[in-house]
Amino acid sequence: MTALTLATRQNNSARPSRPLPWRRMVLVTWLQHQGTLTGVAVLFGALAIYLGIEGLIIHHAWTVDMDCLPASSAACQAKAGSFATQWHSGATIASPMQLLPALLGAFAGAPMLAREMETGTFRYTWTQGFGRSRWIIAKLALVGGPLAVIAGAFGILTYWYFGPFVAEGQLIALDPRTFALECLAFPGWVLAAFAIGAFAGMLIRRVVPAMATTMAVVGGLGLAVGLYLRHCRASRSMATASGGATSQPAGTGHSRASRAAGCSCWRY
Amino acid sequence: MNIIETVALGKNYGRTWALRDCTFAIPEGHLAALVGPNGAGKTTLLHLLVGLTTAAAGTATVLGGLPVGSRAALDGIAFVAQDTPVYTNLTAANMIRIARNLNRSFDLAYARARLGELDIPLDRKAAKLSGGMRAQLALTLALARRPRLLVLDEPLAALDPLARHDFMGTVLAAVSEDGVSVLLSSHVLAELERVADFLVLLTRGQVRVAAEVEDLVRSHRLLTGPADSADWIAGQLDVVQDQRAAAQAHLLVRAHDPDDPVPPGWEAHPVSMEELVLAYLRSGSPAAPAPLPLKPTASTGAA
Amino acid sequence: MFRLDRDSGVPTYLQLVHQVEHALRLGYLKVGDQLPRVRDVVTALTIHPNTVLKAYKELEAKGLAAGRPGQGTFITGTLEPVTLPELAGLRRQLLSWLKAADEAGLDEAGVAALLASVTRDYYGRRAARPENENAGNEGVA
Repeated sequence: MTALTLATRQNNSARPSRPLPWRRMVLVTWLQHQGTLTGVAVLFGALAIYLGIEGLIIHHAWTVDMDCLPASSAACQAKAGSFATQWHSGATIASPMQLLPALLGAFAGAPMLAREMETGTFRYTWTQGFGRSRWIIAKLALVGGPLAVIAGAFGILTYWYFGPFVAEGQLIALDPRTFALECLAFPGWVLAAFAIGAFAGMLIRRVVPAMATTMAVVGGLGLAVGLYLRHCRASRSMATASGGATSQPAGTGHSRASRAAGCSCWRY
Repeated sequence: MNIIETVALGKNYGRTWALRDCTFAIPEGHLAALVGPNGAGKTTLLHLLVGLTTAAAGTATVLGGLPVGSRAALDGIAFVAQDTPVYTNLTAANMIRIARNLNRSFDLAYARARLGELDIPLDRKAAKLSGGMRAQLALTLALARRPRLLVLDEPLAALDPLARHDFMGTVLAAVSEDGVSVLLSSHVLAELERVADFLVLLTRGQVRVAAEVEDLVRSHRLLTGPADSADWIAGQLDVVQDQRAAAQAHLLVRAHDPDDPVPPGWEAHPVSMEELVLAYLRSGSPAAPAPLPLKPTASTGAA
Repeated sequence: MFRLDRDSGVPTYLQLVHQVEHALRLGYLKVGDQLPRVRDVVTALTIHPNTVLKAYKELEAKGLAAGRPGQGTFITGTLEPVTLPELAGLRRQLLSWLKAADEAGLDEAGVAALLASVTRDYYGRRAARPENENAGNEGVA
């Protein structure tokens, strides 16, 4: 006798199920954010090559300077002067690099969630078995993590790059132009911008407005911190002047500030 | 076991209530059609049932009592949203990889075989697929999860007639072979008439009808007779729609007993599902009649 | 194999039953032939599987087909053709009825409408009845 209704699929396991393992998101995140991850790698790779090559040249010129003895002779002072004119103060590269955290926040962070919301694909991913919150956390971690590591390595590179300029006195410790680019400050800024971007994307739900907002917010924060540092420097140099300490010769006295940026100061 | 059950479900956006006081239940093993005009709240209801939004009032359970949006519910329900959003930059092969990783169970062999049958190339980006192919891709990814409930939001709206036929063919094959329960929404009734065996009618955020199509058709009839006795007859019966033309009246009535005698001088005709739905849609009064209760019928008696 | 006439007013499952009976009468189907799989009918006509199951169950009730678990539904019986004398007798009855209808003032279209309505009722009730009987025989489901 044929049954008039069809057998329905039964639930095989009545046990409460455990969440799916996190590692499943690795392939998913890679497939969804290949562009972002490759772009970040290429960008930092290119900058690293540039800074590396130029940095080696600068370091060579600087050690030549340092080896020039006696330091106070006219010839050596002339060499130091030519170093300054030849390489300016390294600020030319520093200024555009200030934009890096804001750009990364906008281009890497904002689209993370905003693109899903804008195209509607979140209606697909959030109804899969993995779960909405775990998916968001995994995505942000799997893109933010490598980003932080790359930024951290880059921060060490920039610290090394700007070393000679600091030693020659053309950049001071906690210089607003380079502080954010060195050591722990840089990955800190990049991660913060990334988080701000992701958050803006989640709230605004449209990619382009989220990107614009992120750049504005991160840029604004950057300016604020820069102004604060300038204020700090101004008040400290006033204190130094009133304290009557001798002016610091080039090449010394940056150790405390450098340590504040989070790097070891073996050179100083 | 009810595959979907709601009690006084409501959802508001600001001051507008998209859904209000929705109470209904759909037993498992049915292909249920959620029908209503645009703006009735169908998408809101579906999003609530799959866990994309949270209810402002009332409760909903799925798959026999599981809370909406819970892990077990997510495992057992596959959803295809309106306009089948896909990752336009990804190929079908990559979409399959993603689907495999995001779900506990995924029938890879089925997915590949099905896409092969449909001539959907695995290595072409989704943006370059036609609308019909994208819809079939989304449906394949959903069915490969072997869900117990398949929820589709206006899946046929953007498809040409052939694509619609193929899409529904796939859904029906899944119902007949795997016993999947289906809930699909549409504002076009004609295409659902032959396909659905359960109807949920939604107008202005409220459920007007929630019953098996067979029961509905059996329990409604069109009475045709002289207009002068129409008012008296209408008073005796549960009238859904009252149409008068000169000396003749057509009353669409709900009879609780199909063997009720026809009033003398009147003729009774059976009603098609389309006529029935149109009548309920037209008679959209705020004080809607309660949805027909679910009675145990012989056809649900398979042990 | 099956066709669907959406506008005929005849329930879908009945159309399927009639098409099988028609095929049997004309010899397209013989005892032992397999009827199309539910899945294939459903994909071709976009109708609900229960409709096909209902049609096949009706054929079973008529003794024309039987389902084999795991294999499908197969033709098990043939249709007795209506014999010539029976046919002649029915014809005569119909003619005298038409005469009566004509005398009562019913024109051709009226006859067709009345015939359609009564036919629908009669076969509709007949389809419902065997189901109820079977439900009673099966006892509790």
